[in-house]
Amino acid sequence: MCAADLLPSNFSHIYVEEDALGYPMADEVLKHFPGSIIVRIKHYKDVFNRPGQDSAVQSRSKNLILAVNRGRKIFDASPVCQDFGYGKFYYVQSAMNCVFNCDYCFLKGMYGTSNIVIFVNTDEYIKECEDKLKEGPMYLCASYDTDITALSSICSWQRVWEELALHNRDLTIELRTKSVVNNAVPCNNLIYAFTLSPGLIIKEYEKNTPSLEKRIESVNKAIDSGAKVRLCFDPIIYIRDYEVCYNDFADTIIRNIDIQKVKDISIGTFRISSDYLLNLRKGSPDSPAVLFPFDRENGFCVYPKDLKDRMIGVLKDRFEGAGFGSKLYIF
Amino acid sequence: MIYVFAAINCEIAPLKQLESDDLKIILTGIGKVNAAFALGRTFPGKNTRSEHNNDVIINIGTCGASNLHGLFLVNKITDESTGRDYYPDMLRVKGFPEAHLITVDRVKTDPEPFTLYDMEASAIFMAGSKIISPDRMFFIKVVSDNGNVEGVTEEGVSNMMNEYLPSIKSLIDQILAGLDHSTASPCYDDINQKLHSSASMQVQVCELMDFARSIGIDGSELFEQEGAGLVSSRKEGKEVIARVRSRLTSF
Repeated sequence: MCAADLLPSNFSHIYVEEDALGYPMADEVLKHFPGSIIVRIKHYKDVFNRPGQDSAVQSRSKNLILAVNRGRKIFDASPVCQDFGYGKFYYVQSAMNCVFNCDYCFLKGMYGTSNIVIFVNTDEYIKECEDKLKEGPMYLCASYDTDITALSSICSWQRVWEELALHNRDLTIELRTKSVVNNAVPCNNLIYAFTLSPGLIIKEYEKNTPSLEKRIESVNKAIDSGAKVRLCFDPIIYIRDYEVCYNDFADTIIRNIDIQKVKDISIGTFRISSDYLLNLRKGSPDSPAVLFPFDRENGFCVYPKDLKDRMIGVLKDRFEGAGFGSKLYIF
Repeated sequence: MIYVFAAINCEIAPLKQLESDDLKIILTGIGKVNAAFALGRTFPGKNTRSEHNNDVIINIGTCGASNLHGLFLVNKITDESTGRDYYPDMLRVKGFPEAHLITVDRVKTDPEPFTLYDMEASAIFMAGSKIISPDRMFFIKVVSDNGNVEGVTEEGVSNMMNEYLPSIKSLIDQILAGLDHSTASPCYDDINQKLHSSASMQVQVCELMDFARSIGIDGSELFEQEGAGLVSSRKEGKEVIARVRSRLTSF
């Protein structure tokens, strides 16, 4: 018997803030886990922010925390994110952490835990969003500190943001995911941003995520339904024979997705805050994706410039060649 | 190493048979101050987290409860005097009933229902969490009384611990089987000596060696191929590092 056999499955324990009990979303989540042990807590930070947690061990058996977000809910997005030309570019923190286990994920670097927080006070989020909209149109990433679509089988946050976009034309919402989107909503100001990676990268570095085939199928369903779709080839990860790998990947995308129906494509290489990289390396001590000897630039770890340009060039050239140049965003 | 902490002799006596090279049993004495002191005495010295990556703390003992019986694994500890809550990660053990434990300063004569009461756990968690991650701390409690301790004898406690010894042993076996033993990062002294490495060069060597290992390349050989053995100054050492970096980032 190996260690993994002894670790119970995800969400064996659900930590619930006393204040969160009674919120419809808390009830909705809990009904999915009748066998889980419920531990009542005063504040989510008492569990989420404990010092010295071993997030690598926790990642094999993640637990869930249901909480009320009493503080700010909408934040300015990080400068390392693409703003796609939108001036007012924000993200909303409706959940923290992810069910997936990607070696390179910045969440692993940012949070000292693999446990997942879902905030349940949806009405207060909607109000803060509507208040902010009074200042003018805004672009909101609703799947930023999490993969909200991947959580949609247990909570309705994705539907909350879809509804909000449908009723507020000045609000453009991006739902970024590596998961499969069910029933994408056609709406001009609602963007389903699918992160797509080569099969080899998914197998090696994006553990527990859907295969490239399933993601492509989901992209096509969303396009067919009339939804706005963005393809994100970001982060590109350096591997041996990356040129062959990403050229094959571009072939697969061009062959299987009608890219003329895609809103836009973003391309970017892996980059991360130097502080976060230290934590990532602790959590994935054998992963070349995070052990690569990166250059340091203004507090961020990046691939050496010539390598970065070559890696981006592989995909950029292919999609420009396919007549997609004007809708490419490079980071 | 597994460190088992228990408060009184009659709790410890039955556990003695579990003692081994990998499992040490420590008597704390009753109460939070004694418990915290016992931890400090057990882990003297610098005490960084990395020193204790392979260590486990288990607190075993009896407790009071009004309507619970048997052995419990604790998933939440409340320190009654401060009101603070502590949460061990419940990751490595399954199949045991769990409960909330309140650590009190004096015997609780009117316990809340479905709650355990002891006098050490919060201090052990607090002191232990300075150096041990919460997935490596376990609190195992056997209910000995309902708040009225008049009928509780040393012999009775020993008998009770003996009765639950198979469960305790099974629990410790699960903990042992679930442990990953991490090894400390090598410091690559040999290469650094050859390169006349400064502190920042040592960090770079370590980074390059770790990356080389992760992609199945012998980093030491790579440094040798790039002339590590011929270096006579720090400047030349830096040039070797640059060449190794260049090769590794274009493999």
